[in-house]
Amino acid sequence: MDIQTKELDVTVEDINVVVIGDFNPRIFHPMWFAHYGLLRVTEAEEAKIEILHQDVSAFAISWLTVQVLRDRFTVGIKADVYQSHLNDLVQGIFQLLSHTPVRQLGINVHFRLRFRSEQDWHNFGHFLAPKSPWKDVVSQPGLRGLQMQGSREDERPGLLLVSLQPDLGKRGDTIIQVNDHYEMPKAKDKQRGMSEGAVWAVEVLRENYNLSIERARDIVKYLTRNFLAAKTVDNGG
Amino acid sequence: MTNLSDVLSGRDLAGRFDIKQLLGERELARPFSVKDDYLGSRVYGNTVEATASASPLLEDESPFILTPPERQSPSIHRFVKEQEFEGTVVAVNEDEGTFTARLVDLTNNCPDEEGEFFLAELNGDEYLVVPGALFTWTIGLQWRNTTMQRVSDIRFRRLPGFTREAIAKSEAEAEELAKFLDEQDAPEAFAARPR
Repeated sequence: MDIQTKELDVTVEDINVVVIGDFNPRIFHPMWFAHYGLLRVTEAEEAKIEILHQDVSAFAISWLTVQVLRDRFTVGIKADVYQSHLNDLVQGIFQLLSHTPVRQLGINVHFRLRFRSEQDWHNFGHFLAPKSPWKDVVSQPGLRGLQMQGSREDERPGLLLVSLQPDLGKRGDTIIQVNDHYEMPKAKDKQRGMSEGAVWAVEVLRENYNLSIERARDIVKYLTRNFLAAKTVDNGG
Repeated sequence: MTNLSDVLSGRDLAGRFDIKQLLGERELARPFSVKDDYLGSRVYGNTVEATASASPLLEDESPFILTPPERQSPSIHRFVKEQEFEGTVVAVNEDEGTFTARLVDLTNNCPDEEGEFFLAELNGDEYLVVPGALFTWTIGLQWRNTTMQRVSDIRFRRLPGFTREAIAKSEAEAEELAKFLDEQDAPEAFAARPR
């Protein structure tokens, strides 16, 4: 099918850092953050605390949300102007809690793609998932989700996972999530003392956080640029 | 499950009940799932990224599984920047209650500038103002809950210091590099080079 796609709007919807390990949620009180200079005192005092419990801690300040479970730590922002401050915060926390066992780390960026027309929205789905292979399997095939895994280009263990889902609540919108996933370093690095506790995760953030977010932006730029340049898509017709 | 025979069918071969399964099917206990519903859509909210896999610990330990609250959205949910600077404190003028900073324009490719700011405008970051300290200065439209306003936001970086491990790693890399350069500069290396 021939297409003529119009420009689309791409915005960062959310940036978050997920850490998998063993945590004590009870300590993650806003005033703990303020005490160690990780957040402003005024922000900690005004924090909207949702729950503080031995199994889960969750609160929000104006620009940031924090949620800590026994095995999972998540902090996120919506406005990307705070992206460097998010990195400072997570590094600061795990530098303080350097002996906390940390097994995995994820730097996640969500983008919202807003197409000018519903047809462009459908065409983007056809562009990423051609429909001819599906036309005799289901009627009116439509893309509801897609995940593509890639290997890391650096030497760190982990992977890159790109997920895409149309936002059916807002027709014309699509969310792309880029998950830059890191695993705890393997035995050879342990000899260098880089994989104990949370130290390795702090090092990953120090070296890779900005690169990771830039890579996520590049992935979305690349996909959308190629889509805008496409003259035809396979809609199964 | 609605009757006794259904309940009994939930037993395993040893006659034990699979409480978790029973409760799960009655929706009394829900397995923990990661929801990013606050992103604005319940449609894509169940996406589970690799680092966001469900907690096997919570699922295995008890049938009465804690379902944590959904992460709420921060009140600042959008910020369209019109101008963004990265600032470095050059001098602190305590008598005047100001500080001077060098500003790198991250929005336009303009030459660096110097500016003077009031310490009183820092909303709690005053103690971080020392020569060399970094901050971001963002001017733009900020959406906070349902209101939109033009703001000028100065926020000091809270850069953590280098860890001992990071310093050791850098030193090891520097030594490796120095050794490599020494080898390259050795007379025999020069002699071996093709002319």
